[in-house]
Amino acid sequence: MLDYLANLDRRWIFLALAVAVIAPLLWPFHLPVEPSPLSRKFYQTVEDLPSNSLVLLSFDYGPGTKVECHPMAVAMLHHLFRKKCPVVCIALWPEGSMFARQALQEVAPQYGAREGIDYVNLGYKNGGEVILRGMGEDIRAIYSHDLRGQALADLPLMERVRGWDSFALVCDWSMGRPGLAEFVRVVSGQYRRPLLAGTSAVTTPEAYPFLNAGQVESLLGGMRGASEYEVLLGLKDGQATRGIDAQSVAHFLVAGLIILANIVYFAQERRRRKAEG
Amino acid sequence: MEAQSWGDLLGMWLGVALSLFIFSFLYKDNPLYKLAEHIFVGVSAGYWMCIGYWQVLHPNLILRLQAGDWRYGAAAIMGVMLLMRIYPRWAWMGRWPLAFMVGIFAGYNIVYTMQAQVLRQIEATILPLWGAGLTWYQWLINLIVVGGTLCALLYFYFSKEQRGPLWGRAARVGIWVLMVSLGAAFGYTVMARLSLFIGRVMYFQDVWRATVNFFS
Amino acid sequence: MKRSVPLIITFVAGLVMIVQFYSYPLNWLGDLFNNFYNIILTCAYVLGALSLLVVNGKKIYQQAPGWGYNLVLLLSLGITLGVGLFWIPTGGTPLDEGTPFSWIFNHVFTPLSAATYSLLAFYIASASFRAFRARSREATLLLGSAFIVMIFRVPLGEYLWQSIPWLGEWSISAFIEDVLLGGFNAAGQRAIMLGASVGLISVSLKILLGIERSYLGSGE
Repeated sequence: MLDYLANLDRRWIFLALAVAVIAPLLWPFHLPVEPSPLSRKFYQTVEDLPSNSLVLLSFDYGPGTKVECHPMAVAMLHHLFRKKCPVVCIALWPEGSMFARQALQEVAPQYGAREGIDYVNLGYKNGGEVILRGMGEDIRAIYSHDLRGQALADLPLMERVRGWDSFALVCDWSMGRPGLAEFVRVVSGQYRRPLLAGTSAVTTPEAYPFLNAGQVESLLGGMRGASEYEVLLGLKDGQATRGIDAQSVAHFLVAGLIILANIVYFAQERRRRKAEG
Repeated sequence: MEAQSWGDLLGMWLGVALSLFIFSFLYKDNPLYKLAEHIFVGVSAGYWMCIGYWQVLHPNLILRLQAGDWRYGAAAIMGVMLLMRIYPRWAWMGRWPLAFMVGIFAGYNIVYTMQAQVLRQIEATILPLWGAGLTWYQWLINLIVVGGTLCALLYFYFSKEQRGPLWGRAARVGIWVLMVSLGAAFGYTVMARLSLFIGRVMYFQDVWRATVNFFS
Repeated sequence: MKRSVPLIITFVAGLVMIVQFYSYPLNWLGDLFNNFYNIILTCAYVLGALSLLVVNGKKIYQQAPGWGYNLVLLLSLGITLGVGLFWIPTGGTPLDEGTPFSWIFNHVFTPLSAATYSLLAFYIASASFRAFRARSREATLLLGSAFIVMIFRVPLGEYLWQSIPWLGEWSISAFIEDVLLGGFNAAGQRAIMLGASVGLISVSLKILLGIERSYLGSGE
C-alpha cells in the first residue's frame, strides 16, 4: 500500500484535482467571504476619492491570469463609475488593452459612462518603466492616439490630463513584469502619486515589501482579494466570488495530498530503519 | 458572456475545443495537443506583431514621420538595424540598437532601483522597537521585520564564514525567515495556479450557458 | 568600430537617462529616447516573427519529422498577420471590436493561452505530492508556512478555524496578513530585494562604464 501510494500515477492526482474544481462550480455551497483589512483599506481608498477625481488604471496582465486580475478591474470600474470618477486606461502588456476594452464595455453602459468623456482606453505601449517615465510630465510624449486610433485632441476627457500629477489615484493590475515594480519605481517613487495594486496570487508576496514601505497604499491579492472587493462592493454576480468555493476545495485537496505524502514518507523511513536494524 | 451571432458561438466552441486539446496533454502527449500548441505559438507571434504595429509603430513612428518629425528617422533606422541580426553577415549592425536599449535600461536601473528598492526599503526597515504608544502586536511585527531583514541579509553575506555564537546564529535565523517567506510564496503560487484552472472551467460553463441562451 | 561604437552608445544613452532624472530641461531628450526605446523594442517582435519564419520554413522545406505542425504554425502566424494588418474597417483599425483579428483574440489566442497556463495547476498539485517533505527543520518551516496560507486563505479554512473553541475568536486572516505576510514574508522578500538590487545597480554601472560587455556577444 505504502509503495503504491509512493509511486502513485500522477494522472490520479490530476483527476482528483479536476473533480475538486468542477464539483463546487456545479454545486456551489456559497461560503461567506470575509474581507481582510487590506481589502477594506483598498475599498476605503477608492471610496474616499472626491467625485470627478481622475483615476488611471493599468491593465498589465495576460490571458493566463485574467481569472484573477480581470474581476478586480471590473469591480473597480463599478466602484469608480458609481462615484462618477473618470477613468484613463493604459496597458504595459500587449493583451491588456483588449481586456481593458472588455471590462469597459461590460461596466460602462450600466452607468451611462461615455467613451472619450467618462473614460478613455489609450492602449498598449512597449517598454515598462521607460513608458511610465515618458508619461511623467505629459502623457502626449508617449500617447498620441487611443486604442481606436482617435487623436487625443479629439477626446474631451484628455483636456484634463497632462502628466502623472493629473491623477488623484493610480491603480495597477499586475501579473508580473512590467507591472507593479515599475509603477512603484516611477509613479510612487518619483512622482509621489497614491498607488493601489491588484496582483495575481503568485506575485502577491513580492508586493509586501512595497506595501510595508508605504509605496503602495493597499493591495488585492489573487482571486481571494478580488472576491473580497466584490463582496465589499455588493456585486451580486462577481466572477471571483463565483470561483472561490472551488478554490477552497482545491486548496484542501492539495494540503491533503501533502499530508498524505508526508505520512507515506515517514512510514517508509521507519520501515527502512527497522529493516536496517 | 453572450453569443451575438453564429460566428461568436462557433468561436466559443472552437475555444472550448482548443482548450480541451491542450488539456489532453495531461493524459499523454498526442497530435491534438501538438496541433493546439503550434497554433498557439503562431497566433501569439502574429498577435504581438499586430498589436505592436497598430499601437506602437503606427502612432509613435509612422504618424510622427508623416507629421514631419524627422528625428524619428533615427528610431526607424535603429529598428531596421536590429532586424539585421537575422543575417549572420550583418548581425553586428544589430549591436547598435541593442546597445542603446541596454544603456537606457542600465541608466534607469541605477536611479530607480537605488531610490525605490534600496533607500526606501532601508528606510522602511528602521522601525521603533520601544516607546510609548507601541502595542505588543505592533512591537512583534516590527521586531520580525527589523530582525528578520537583518538576519536574512547576514545570511546573504558570503564574504565571511557564517560561524560563531552571534554571526552563525543570526545567519541561521535568516535562513528560517527566508523559509517562512518562501513557504508563504509557495502557498500563494498554489493559489494562483489553481485559479487558472478554475478560470477555464468557468469559461466552459459560460460557453454552455451562452449556447443555451442563444437557442432559447 | 563594431565594438567601440556600441559601447559609446550605451554610455551616452545611460548617462542621458540618469541626468534627465535630476534635470528637467533635459526631459525633451529623455522623452525622445523613451520613444526610440518603445519603437526599437517593438521591432524585436518583428525579429521574433522572422526568426519563427526561418526556423519553421527550414523544417518544412526539408520535410523534417512533424513538418506538418510547422506548417500549421506558419499558417496561424500568416492568417493572424493578414487579418491583423490588412483587414481594416472603415474609420477604424483591425483591433476594433467585431473584426476577424478581435475574433482570433477572443476565441483562439485567449483560450489557448489560458489553457496552457492552467496546466500548471495540475503539475503543482502533483509536485506538492512528490516533493514536499518535512525532511529538516528548514523544510518543516517552509511546509508549515505554505500550509497555513493554503488552508486559511480560503473561506472553507476560515470557517473551520472560527468553529474551533477559544482559538476561533482570533482572526486568522489578520494573523496571516500582519505576521506571516507583513512580517516574515516582508522581511524575507525585502532581504532578497536588497541583495538583488545592489547586484543590479553594480551590473548597470559596469555596463555603462564598458566593463561588462557580454551583451554585445563574442564575435567581431
